[in-house]
Amino acid sequence: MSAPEVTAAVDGIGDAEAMLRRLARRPEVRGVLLASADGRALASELADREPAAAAAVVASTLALGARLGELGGDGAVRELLVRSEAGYVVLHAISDDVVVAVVATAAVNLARLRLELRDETKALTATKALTATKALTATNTPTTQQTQHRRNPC
Amino acid sequence: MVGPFAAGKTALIRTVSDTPVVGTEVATSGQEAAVKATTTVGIEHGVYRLVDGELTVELLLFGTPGQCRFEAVRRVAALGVEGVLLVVDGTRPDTWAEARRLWCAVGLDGGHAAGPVPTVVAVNRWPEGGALPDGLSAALDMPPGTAWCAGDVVEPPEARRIVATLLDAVLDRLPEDAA
Repeated sequence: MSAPEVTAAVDGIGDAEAMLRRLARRPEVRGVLLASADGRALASELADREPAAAAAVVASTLALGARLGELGGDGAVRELLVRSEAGYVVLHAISDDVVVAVVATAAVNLARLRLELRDETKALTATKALTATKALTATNTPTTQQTQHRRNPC
Repeated sequence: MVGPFAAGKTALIRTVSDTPVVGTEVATSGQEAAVKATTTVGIEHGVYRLVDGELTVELLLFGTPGQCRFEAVRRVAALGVEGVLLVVDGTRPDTWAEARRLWCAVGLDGGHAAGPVPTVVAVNRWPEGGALPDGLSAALDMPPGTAWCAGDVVEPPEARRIVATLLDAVLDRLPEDAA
Protein backbone atom coordinates (compact mmCIF):
# COMPACT_ATOMS: atom_id res chain seq x y z
CA MET A 1 0.00 0.00 0.00
CA SER A 2 1.71 3.15 -1.16
CA ALA A 3 -0.21 5.34 1.25
CA PRO A 4 1.05 8.58 2.71
CA GLU A 5 2.08 8.40 6.33
CA VAL A 6 -0.96 6.98 8.00
CA THR A 7 -0.82 6.29 11.69
CA ALA A 8 -2.20 3.06 13.05
CA ALA A 9 -3.92 5.04 15.77
CA VAL A 10 -6.47 6.48 13.38
CA ASP A 11 -9.85 4.80 13.52
CA GLY A 12 -11.13 3.39 10.31
CA ILE A 13 -8.14 3.66 8.02
CA GLY A 14 -7.47 -0.08 8.31
CA ASP A 15 -11.03 -0.77 7.15
CA ALA A 16 -10.64 1.73 4.33
CA GLU A 17 -7.41 0.17 3.17
CA ALA A 18 -9.02 -3.26 3.23
CA MET A 19 -11.84 -1.85 1.11
CA LEU A 20 -9.37 -0.46 -1.41
CA ARG A 21 -7.67 -3.84 -1.66
CA ARG A 22 -11.01 -5.59 -2.24
CA LEU A 23 -11.96 -3.10 -4.93
CA ALA A 24 -8.55 -3.42 -6.56
CA ARG A 25 -8.97 -7.19 -6.76
CA ARG A 26 -11.20 -6.96 -9.82
CA PRO A 27 -9.05 -7.62 -12.88
CA GLU A 28 -10.58 -4.65 -14.70
CA VAL A 29 -9.76 -2.24 -11.88
CA ARG A 30 -6.51 -0.49 -12.61
CA GLY A 31 -6.29 1.55 -9.46
CA VAL A 32 -8.11 2.92 -6.45
CA LEU A 33 -7.51 5.99 -4.36
CA LEU A 34 -8.94 7.34 -1.15
CA ALA A 35 -8.77 11.13 -0.97
CA SER A 36 -9.94 13.83 1.39
CA ALA A 37 -12.35 16.42 0.01
CA ASP A 38 -9.58 19.00 0.25
CA GLY A 39 -7.34 16.98 -1.99
CA ARG A 40 -5.01 14.86 0.08
CA ALA A 41 -4.24 11.23 -0.63
CA LEU A 42 -5.26 9.11 2.36
CA ALA A 43 -4.50 5.71 0.85
CA SER A 44 -3.97 4.44 -2.65
CA GLU A 45 -3.49 1.47 -4.92
CA LEU A 46 -2.53 3.43 -8.02
CA ALA A 47 0.14 1.95 -10.22
CA ASP A 48 2.40 4.52 -11.88
CA ARG A 49 0.41 7.47 -10.64
CA GLU A 50 1.43 9.89 -7.97
CA PRO A 51 -1.27 9.78 -5.27
CA ALA A 52 -0.88 13.40 -4.13
CA ALA A 53 -1.50 14.90 -7.57
CA ALA A 54 -4.30 12.43 -8.31
CA ALA A 55 -6.00 13.24 -4.99
CA ALA A 56 -5.97 16.96 -5.80
CA VAL A 57 -7.58 16.39 -9.19
CA VAL A 58 -10.16 14.10 -7.60
CA ALA A 59 -11.08 16.75 -5.02
CA SER A 60 -11.27 19.51 -7.64
CA THR A 61 -13.43 17.42 -9.94
CA LEU A 62 -15.74 16.46 -7.10
CA ALA A 63 -16.16 20.10 -6.09
CA LEU A 64 -16.89 21.20 -9.65
CA GLY A 65 -19.16 18.18 -10.04
CA ALA A 66 -21.10 19.38 -7.01
CA ARG A 67 -21.68 22.72 -8.77
CA LEU A 68 -22.76 20.82 -11.85
CA GLY A 69 -25.10 18.74 -9.74
CA GLU A 70 -26.79 21.89 -8.49
CA LEU A 71 -28.23 22.30 -11.98
CA GLY A 72 -30.47 19.39 -11.05
CA GLY A 73 -31.47 20.78 -7.67
CA ASP A 74 -30.30 20.69 -4.09
CA GLY A 75 -28.47 17.79 -2.55
CA ALA A 76 -24.92 16.60 -2.05
CA VAL A 77 -23.01 15.05 -4.94
CA ARG A 78 -22.73 11.28 -4.49
CA GLU A 79 -21.00 10.04 -7.60
CA LEU A 80 -19.18 11.19 -10.73
CA LEU A 81 -18.43 9.08 -13.75
CA VAL A 82 -15.84 9.84 -16.42
CA ARG A 83 -15.73 7.72 -19.54
CA SER A 84 -12.56 8.00 -21.62
CA GLU A 85 -11.29 5.91 -24.50
CA ALA A 86 -9.11 4.13 -21.97
CA GLY A 87 -11.93 3.25 -19.62
CA TYR A 88 -13.69 4.69 -16.60
CA VAL A 89 -12.97 6.74 -13.54
CA VAL A 90 -15.66 6.62 -10.88
CA LEU A 91 -15.65 9.06 -7.99
CA HIS A 92 -17.82 7.97 -5.11
CA ALA A 93 -18.30 10.29 -2.16
CA ILE A 94 -18.12 8.31 1.07
CA SER A 95 -18.88 11.29 3.29
CA ASP A 96 -18.59 15.06 3.14
CA ASP A 97 -14.89 14.63 3.84
CA VAL A 98 -13.78 11.55 1.94
CA VAL A 99 -14.07 10.26 -1.62
CA VAL A 100 -12.95 7.05 -3.25
CA ALA A 101 -11.81 7.01 -6.89
CA VAL A 102 -11.79 3.84 -8.94
CA VAL A 103 -9.94 3.64 -12.26
CA ALA A 104 -11.12 0.78 -14.46
CA THR A 105 -10.70 -0.47 -17.99
CA ALA A 106 -13.52 -0.24 -20.53
CA ALA A 107 -14.19 -3.95 -19.99
CA VAL A 108 -15.42 -3.48 -16.44
CA ASN A 109 -19.01 -4.27 -15.56
CA LEU A 110 -19.87 -0.77 -14.49
CA ALA A 111 -23.17 -1.62 -12.84
CA ARG A 112 -21.56 -4.28 -10.65
CA LEU A 113 -18.65 -2.02 -9.80
CA ARG A 114 -20.98 0.76 -8.70
CA LEU A 115 -23.09 -1.65 -6.64
CA GLU A 116 -19.95 -2.92 -4.96
CA LEU A 117 -18.82 0.66 -4.31
CA ARG A 118 -22.18 1.48 -2.78
CA ASP A 119 -22.18 -1.57 -0.52
CA GLU A 120 -18.56 -1.16 0.49
CA THR A 121 -18.84 2.49 1.38
CA LYS A 122 -22.11 1.89 3.20
CA ALA A 123 -20.37 -0.74 5.34
CA LEU A 124 -17.48 1.62 5.90
CA THR A 125 -19.59 4.53 7.10
CA ALA A 126 -21.74 2.18 9.19
CA THR A 127 -18.72 1.38 11.32
CA LYS A 128 -18.07 5.10 11.78
CA ALA A 129 -14.86 4.67 9.88
CA LEU A 130 -13.09 7.74 8.55
CA THR A 131 -14.57 10.08 11.08
CA ALA A 132 -10.99 10.87 12.03
CA THR A 133 -10.10 12.43 8.70
CA LYS A 134 -8.82 15.58 10.32
CA ALA A 135 -6.40 13.72 12.55
CA LEU A 136 -5.45 11.41 9.74
CA THR A 137 -4.41 14.07 7.31
CA ALA A 138 -2.51 15.99 9.93
CA THR A 139 0.22 13.42 9.45
CA ASN A 140 -0.04 13.49 5.70
CA THR A 141 3.27 15.10 4.85
CA PRO A 142 4.78 14.54 1.40
CA THR A 143 6.58 11.24 1.14
CA THR A 144 9.95 10.80 -0.48
CA GLN A 145 8.23 9.26 -3.45
CA GLN A 146 6.01 12.31 -3.85
CA THR A 147 8.72 14.90 -3.54
CA GLN A 148 10.81 13.14 -6.15
CA HIS A 149 8.04 13.01 -8.70
CA ARG A 150 9.12 14.63 -11.94
CA ARG A 151 6.18 16.97 -12.48
CA ASN A 152 5.40 17.73 -8.90
CA PRO A 153 7.13 20.91 -7.68
CA CYS A 154 5.73 20.55 -4.16
CA MET B 1 -6.16 34.77 -9.68
CA VAL B 2 -3.27 32.90 -8.12
CA GLY B 3 -1.49 33.06 -4.80
CA PRO B 4 -0.50 30.92 -1.84
CA PHE B 5 -2.93 29.23 0.53
CA ALA B 6 -4.76 31.76 2.73
CA ALA B 7 -3.49 34.80 0.78
CA GLY B 8 -7.05 36.09 0.26
CA LYS B 9 -8.04 35.00 -3.26
CA THR B 10 -11.51 33.74 -2.39
CA ALA B 11 -12.16 36.75 -0.15
CA LEU B 12 -11.23 39.10 -2.98
CA ILE B 13 -13.47 37.44 -5.55
CA ARG B 14 -16.36 37.38 -3.06
CA THR B 15 -15.85 41.04 -2.23
CA VAL B 16 -15.86 42.35 -5.79
CA SER B 17 -18.05 39.97 -7.77
CA ASP B 18 -21.26 41.43 -9.20
CA THR B 19 -22.65 37.94 -9.71
CA PRO B 20 -23.08 35.16 -7.16
CA VAL B 21 -19.68 33.53 -6.87
CA VAL B 22 -19.48 29.94 -8.03
CA GLY B 23 -17.30 28.59 -5.26
CA THR B 24 -15.55 25.27 -4.71
CA GLU B 25 -14.63 25.53 -1.05
CA VAL B 26 -14.45 22.54 1.24
CA ALA B 27 -13.36 22.03 4.84
CA THR B 28 -9.63 22.07 5.42
CA SER B 29 -7.83 19.17 7.08
CA GLY B 30 -4.55 18.69 8.88
CA GLN B 31 -2.35 21.68 9.66
CA GLU B 32 -4.27 23.81 7.16
CA ALA B 33 -7.31 23.57 9.42
CA ALA B 34 -5.38 25.56 12.00
CA VAL B 35 -5.01 28.44 9.52
CA LYS B 36 -8.59 28.58 8.27
CA ALA B 37 -11.73 26.48 8.10
CA THR B 38 -12.26 26.16 4.35
CA THR B 39 -10.17 26.10 1.20
CA THR B 40 -10.82 26.35 -2.54
CA VAL B 41 -10.20 23.06 -4.34
CA GLY B 42 -11.59 23.74 -7.82
CA ILE B 43 -11.93 26.84 -9.93
CA GLU B 44 -14.17 29.56 -8.54
CA HIS B 45 -15.80 32.14 -10.71
CA GLY B 46 -17.08 35.68 -10.35
CA VAL B 47 -17.65 38.74 -12.53
CA TYR B 48 -16.45 42.28 -11.97
CA ARG B 49 -18.45 44.81 -13.94
CA LEU B 50 -17.17 48.30 -14.63
CA VAL B 51 -19.57 50.81 -16.16
CA ASP B 52 -18.23 53.95 -17.79
CA GLY B 53 -20.97 55.92 -19.50
CA GLU B 54 -22.49 53.64 -22.09
CA LEU B 55 -19.52 51.29 -22.02
CA THR B 56 -19.64 48.25 -19.78
CA VAL B 57 -16.60 46.08 -19.31
CA GLU B 58 -16.90 42.71 -17.65
CA LEU B 59 -13.86 41.11 -16.14
CA LEU B 60 -14.38 37.38 -15.67
CA LEU B 61 -12.55 36.29 -12.56
CA PHE B 62 -11.30 32.77 -11.98
CA GLY B 63 -9.85 31.87 -8.60
CA THR B 64 -7.53 28.90 -8.14
CA PRO B 65 -6.43 26.81 -5.16
CA GLY B 66 -3.23 27.97 -3.48
CA GLN B 67 -1.75 24.68 -2.34
CA CYS B 68 1.01 23.14 -4.37
CA ARG B 69 -0.87 19.87 -4.87
CA PHE B 70 -3.42 21.60 -7.12
CA GLU B 71 -0.96 22.32 -9.91
CA ALA B 72 -3.16 20.44 -12.41
CA VAL B 73 -6.11 22.73 -11.62
CA ARG B 74 -4.04 25.86 -12.08
CA ARG B 75 -2.81 24.61 -15.45
CA VAL B 76 -6.43 24.28 -16.58
CA ALA B 77 -7.35 27.71 -15.22
CA ALA B 78 -4.32 29.33 -16.87
CA LEU B 79 -5.40 28.46 -20.39
CA GLY B 80 -6.11 31.66 -22.32
CA VAL B 81 -5.93 34.06 -19.39
CA GLU B 82 -5.78 37.77 -20.28
CA GLY B 83 -4.26 38.85 -17.01
CA VAL B 84 -3.06 37.51 -13.71
CA LEU B 85 -3.82 38.79 -10.28
CA LEU B 86 -1.13 37.52 -7.93
CA VAL B 87 -2.50 37.73 -4.40
CA VAL B 88 0.03 37.70 -1.57
CA ASP B 89 -0.30 38.19 2.17
CA GLY B 90 1.85 41.22 2.97
CA THR B 91 2.25 40.07 6.55
CA ARG B 92 3.55 36.56 5.78
CA PRO B 93 7.02 36.67 4.20
CA ASP B 94 7.26 32.87 4.54
CA THR B 95 4.71 32.54 1.70
CA TRP B 96 6.34 34.86 -0.84
CA ALA B 97 8.70 32.34 -2.44
CA GLU B 98 5.70 30.12 -3.07
CA ALA B 99 3.87 33.12 -4.56
CA ARG B 100 6.75 33.62 -6.98
CA ARG B 101 6.64 29.97 -8.00
CA LEU B 102 2.87 30.09 -8.54
CA TRP B 103 3.13 33.16 -10.74
CA CYS B 104 5.93 31.64 -12.84
CA ALA B 105 3.73 28.65 -13.58
CA VAL B 106 0.88 30.86 -14.82
CA GLY B 107 2.23 34.27 -15.74
CA LEU B 108 5.33 33.13 -17.58
CA ASP B 109 4.11 29.81 -18.93
CA GLY B 110 0.58 30.85 -19.78
CA GLY B 111 1.27 30.21 -23.44
CA HIS B 112 1.54 33.86 -24.44
CA ALA B 113 4.11 34.46 -27.15
CA ALA B 114 4.10 38.18 -26.43
CA GLY B 115 5.77 37.61 -23.07
CA PRO B 116 4.51 37.47 -19.51
CA VAL B 117 0.78 37.84 -19.02
CA PRO B 118 -0.14 41.31 -17.66
CA THR B 119 0.05 40.93 -13.92
CA VAL B 120 -1.01 42.94 -10.91
CA VAL B 121 0.37 42.01 -7.51
CA ALA B 122 -2.30 42.45 -4.83
CA VAL B 123 -0.62 42.84 -1.45
CA ASN B 124 -3.34 41.82 0.96
CA ARG B 125 -3.51 42.83 4.61
CA TRP B 126 -1.20 45.74 3.91
CA PRO B 127 -2.07 49.44 4.06
CA GLU B 128 -2.61 51.01 0.68
CA GLY B 129 -0.50 53.94 -0.39
CA GLY B 130 2.49 53.26 1.84
CA ALA B 131 5.74 51.42 1.23
CA LEU B 132 5.58 47.75 0.24
CA PRO B 133 6.63 45.16 2.82
CA ASP B 134 10.40 44.79 3.16
CA GLY B 135 11.76 42.11 0.87
CA LEU B 136 8.53 41.46 -1.05
CA SER B 137 9.73 43.00 -4.29
CA ALA B 138 12.95 40.97 -4.21
CA ALA B 139 11.11 37.78 -3.31
CA LEU B 140 8.61 38.05 -6.17
CA ASP B 141 11.11 39.42 -8.73
CA MET B 142 8.36 40.55 -11.11
CA PRO B 143 9.06 41.91 -14.60
CA PRO B 144 9.48 45.69 -14.95
CA GLY B 145 6.16 47.46 -15.35
CA THR B 146 4.23 45.11 -13.10
CA ALA B 147 1.59 47.01 -11.15
CA TRP B 148 1.44 46.70 -7.36
CA CYS B 149 -1.63 47.33 -5.27
CA ALA B 150 -1.80 47.07 -1.48
CA GLY B 151 -4.98 46.93 0.52
CA ASP B 152 -7.37 44.76 2.44
CA VAL B 153 -9.35 42.54 0.09
CA VAL B 154 -12.35 42.30 2.39
CA GLU B 155 -12.85 46.07 2.09
CA PRO B 156 -14.96 46.65 -1.04
CA PRO B 157 -13.33 49.94 -2.13
CA GLU B 158 -9.83 48.49 -1.76
CA ALA B 159 -10.74 45.21 -3.46
CA ARG B 160 -12.39 47.08 -6.34
CA ARG B 161 -9.31 49.24 -6.78
CA ILE B 162 -7.13 46.12 -7.00
CA VAL B 163 -9.33 44.53 -9.64
CA ALA B 164 -9.68 47.80 -11.56
CA THR B 165 -5.88 47.99 -11.68
CA LEU B 166 -5.81 44.56 -13.28
CA LEU B 167 -8.46 45.65 -15.76
CA ASP B 168 -6.28 48.62 -16.71
CA ALA B 169 -3.27 46.37 -17.19
CA VAL B 170 -5.26 44.01 -19.40
CA LEU B 171 -6.80 46.80 -21.49
CA ASP B 172 -3.36 48.39 -21.95
CA ARG B 173 -2.16 45.18 -23.55
CA LEU B 174 -5.06 44.83 -26.00
CA PRO B 175 -4.68 46.14 -29.56
CA GLU B 176 -6.14 49.63 -30.03
CA ASP B 177 -9.19 48.56 -32.05
CA ALA B 178 -10.08 45.85 -29.55
CA ALA B 179 -9.80 48.20 -26.59
